[in-house]
Amino acid sequence: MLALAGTGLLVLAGLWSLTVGATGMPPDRVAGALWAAAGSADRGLVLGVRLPRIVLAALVGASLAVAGLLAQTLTRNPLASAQTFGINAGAAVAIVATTIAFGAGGVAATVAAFAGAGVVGVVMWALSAATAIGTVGLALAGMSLQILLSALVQAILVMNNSTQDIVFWLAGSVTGAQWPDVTLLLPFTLTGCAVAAVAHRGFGLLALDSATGEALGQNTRRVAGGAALLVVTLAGASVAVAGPIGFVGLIVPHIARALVGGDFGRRLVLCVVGGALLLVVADLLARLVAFPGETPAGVITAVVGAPAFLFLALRSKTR
Amino acid sequence: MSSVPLRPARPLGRVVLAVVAVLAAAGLSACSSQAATKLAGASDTNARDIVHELGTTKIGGRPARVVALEFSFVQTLDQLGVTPVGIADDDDAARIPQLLGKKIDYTSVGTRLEPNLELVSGLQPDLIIADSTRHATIYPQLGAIAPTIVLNSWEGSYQDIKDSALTIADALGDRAKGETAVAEHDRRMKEIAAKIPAGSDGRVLLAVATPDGMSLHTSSAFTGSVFKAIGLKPAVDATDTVESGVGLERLVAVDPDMLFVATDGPGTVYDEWRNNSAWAGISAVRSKAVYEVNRNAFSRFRGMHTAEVIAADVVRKLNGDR
Amino acid sequence: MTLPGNRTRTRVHVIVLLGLLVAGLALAGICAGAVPLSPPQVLDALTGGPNGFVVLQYRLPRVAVAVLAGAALALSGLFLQAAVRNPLASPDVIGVTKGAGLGAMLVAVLVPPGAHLWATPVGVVAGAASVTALLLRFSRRAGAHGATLALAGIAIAALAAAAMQYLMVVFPQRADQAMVWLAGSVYGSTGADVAGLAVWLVVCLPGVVVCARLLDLAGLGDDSQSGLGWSPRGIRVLLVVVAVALAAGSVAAVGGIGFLGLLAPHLAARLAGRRARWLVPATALTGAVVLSLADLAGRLVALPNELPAGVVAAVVGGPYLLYILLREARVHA
Repeated sequence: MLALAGTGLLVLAGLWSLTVGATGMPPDRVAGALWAAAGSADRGLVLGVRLPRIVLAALVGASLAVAGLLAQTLTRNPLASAQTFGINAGAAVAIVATTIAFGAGGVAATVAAFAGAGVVGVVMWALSAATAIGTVGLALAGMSLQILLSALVQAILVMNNSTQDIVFWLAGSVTGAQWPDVTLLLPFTLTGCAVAAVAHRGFGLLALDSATGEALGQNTRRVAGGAALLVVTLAGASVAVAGPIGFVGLIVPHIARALVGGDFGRRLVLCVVGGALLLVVADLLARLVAFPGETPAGVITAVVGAPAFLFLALRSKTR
Repeated sequence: MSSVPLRPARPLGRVVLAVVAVLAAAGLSACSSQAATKLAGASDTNARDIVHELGTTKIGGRPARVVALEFSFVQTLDQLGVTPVGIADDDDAARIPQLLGKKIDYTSVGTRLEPNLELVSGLQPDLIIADSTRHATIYPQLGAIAPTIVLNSWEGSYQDIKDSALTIADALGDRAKGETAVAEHDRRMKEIAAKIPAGSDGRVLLAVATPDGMSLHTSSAFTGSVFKAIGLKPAVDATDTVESGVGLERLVAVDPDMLFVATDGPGTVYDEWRNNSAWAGISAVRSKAVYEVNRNAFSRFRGMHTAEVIAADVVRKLNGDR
Repeated sequence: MTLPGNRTRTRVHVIVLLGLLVAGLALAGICAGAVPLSPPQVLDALTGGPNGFVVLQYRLPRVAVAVLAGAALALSGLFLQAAVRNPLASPDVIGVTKGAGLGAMLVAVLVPPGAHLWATPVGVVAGAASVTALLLRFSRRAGAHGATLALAGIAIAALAAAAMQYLMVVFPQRADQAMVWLAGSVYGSTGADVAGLAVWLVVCLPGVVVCARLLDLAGLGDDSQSGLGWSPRGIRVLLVVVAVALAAGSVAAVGGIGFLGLLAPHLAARLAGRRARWLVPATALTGAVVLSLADLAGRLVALPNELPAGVVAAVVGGPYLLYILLREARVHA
């Protein structure tokens, strides 16, 4: 039911987004543009600029939310996400480095993003295995890594004098979304969500301690490794097309838990829909804040997400 | 309880001592910096007061060892017959021949963002020309090396650049030469403007393409005001020099009749946008008046000679010579 | 038992050695650079000879700023780690550096360039103070847990970072400069910077002395603290306020090198142990060593360009951070 309602909202938000843009088209003109003959200017704008942006926002949001859900389940840490663990920043460093060294390239950047995200992922996974480091200790470790990695990004940009050329990407944004970006991300999002859905029972057991998991006939190690791989893949691909957008992966799984409880499978469905909805709405706001100027969606998610993070953090302490 | 050290811990005394010592050293260097500035201007008889963005600087004689921290200053100095001894060339030696159309001997002092002051000082200049946006914070130190004038190049309009040429000529001790250079430049610009075909009332736009999006240079930016000076209409009329973070839809909304896309080569959004269905909605695209140009020449350099190069290029294209 | 005496002697040696290292690096920092100078040339410059600018107004101030800011940032990190009771706290993580950065950036875009010299420190201190006020407010609401402070800091840091990113988008011309500043650099330090920082640190000194005495207390449990007549919350607030004051002063002078505050206390503790009377001076000296070294390296590796000292510190400190993290994991496992 909730998933259906969420999907409905997502479609509504998407339709509204279709009518917002610098050229200012009223809804009836947008509708007309959809049926207009190929080659018309309105049709070009709606189908070539606005639609890919909405689709990309939805895909990135869903990927980050599912990555966050998996990270939180895997580490049994409510403050886990690709962003708070520095995985997004790892991907960003790798992308900036390859872009500057070899020139921009969609596929090369994506491969680099996986490598960067993977290295950080391994470190954080090793850390999270030490259960006594504590929820807060792990979050601090992730933040420290993130700060270190942003210093590396700063280093590369300062030496190259090129900060002003990529400020939107740095903050995380779907402003420049094009269909090629969508086709780059789509396979990873689909595969990630499909694998998570097929293996939802196994992933759900990760939330329990490993002894219980093994008693139930699960090879915990292999399942955990698979989950970690999915986190890195989903986060890396998202950062490659939209930059390091924060807080979506952190808060959406919590909202899902508040709505449907702890069942992994049901939360997974809500994370896909809710993550997409959150980022589509955030991007819509990003367009409206300084209209007709643009704002990176990552700024909006941080403004919404940081207080939510604080709320979650305080609650997880008191529990 | 007694193990808690409530007596003053001795090693802290050392820290206090160190702080005091460094404080003394700081005082020393602050005093000597004042002394140096006083020394610089006082001894000259035919000293001129040059008014610039950050104050007034006294300059005597005819400075010959000049350090230029922006490209437009290099070009102006060259037109006034002075070869700078030091240039902040962003470590890209190829840019200077591109800027001046010839090779010159100079020492690179690093990037425009953070020029290396040791190298500047080592060149023993008698004049430093700095930019008001980038170099405001190091102005006191530049002033301690040599008399320094600070002008608006980075965010300067065409008129600012022309005014700067006169200020620089004044600082070099030969204002008349500056006036001649500006007058000749104005004459050449008139000649170029005269070749604009009748009825050219299209709106012209320079957009700098980056990996992130495009930046539109408005009527207040250097290139925009050059367009205006030769009688063309800049597509974006605004008091801010640059509208940045522009997406394809905004470009379609601006709808220029003639579009120059400045790039540093491939890897920008220009590569993607050209294949987008919305790109065809731009007037300049339909009339095949989109030109990819060099970002150095159209956006980074500025300067009077650059203005002529840009104007001549635009007029040639308006006359149907692609 | 002769062991305690030996230990004390070793620790005195460690402190003296660190002090000599700071002095040696300062000397190297004055001699080395794009224009290498021999010690006699330096002496000559000090007495009004050629190279006077390079020695007196370029290298001496930046060497002094590196020493002072390095020491202050390291102490700031030490006090924060004690206040939060977590070895991974630092002025960066807790949001102070980001708040200060936001203040500096607001000045950079709103105030005309001519006024930046005095307006930037004001903006930095205002930004750091606002973040601290927010932090303390949250921690009062949610009880006095050290962890609360750390988490509130992470959230506030994220907000400040978002605001900075927004400013970079609106004013992209300033983005490169902001980036250098955020990375942290001793470039362009003047005698006035040194004097300002030194005065600020002297003002902070009483606070540092009190905090140094409280440091051993902060390590005990809350109960034993109240037994000694200090409220745990009082200790924590004092440690945080002094730490922020130290960090704000140094950030105003050198930008966001908060990473140093994370690493220096760990290094110092390995060298001089955990007792405050040794740890405090050792931490200050270690911070001075690390920042001086980072600045020196940054000036030499990419001539004629400079790498910001904060970048060098982060690149070199990165592996050490990983080591600390993995050690934490091992200790807890």
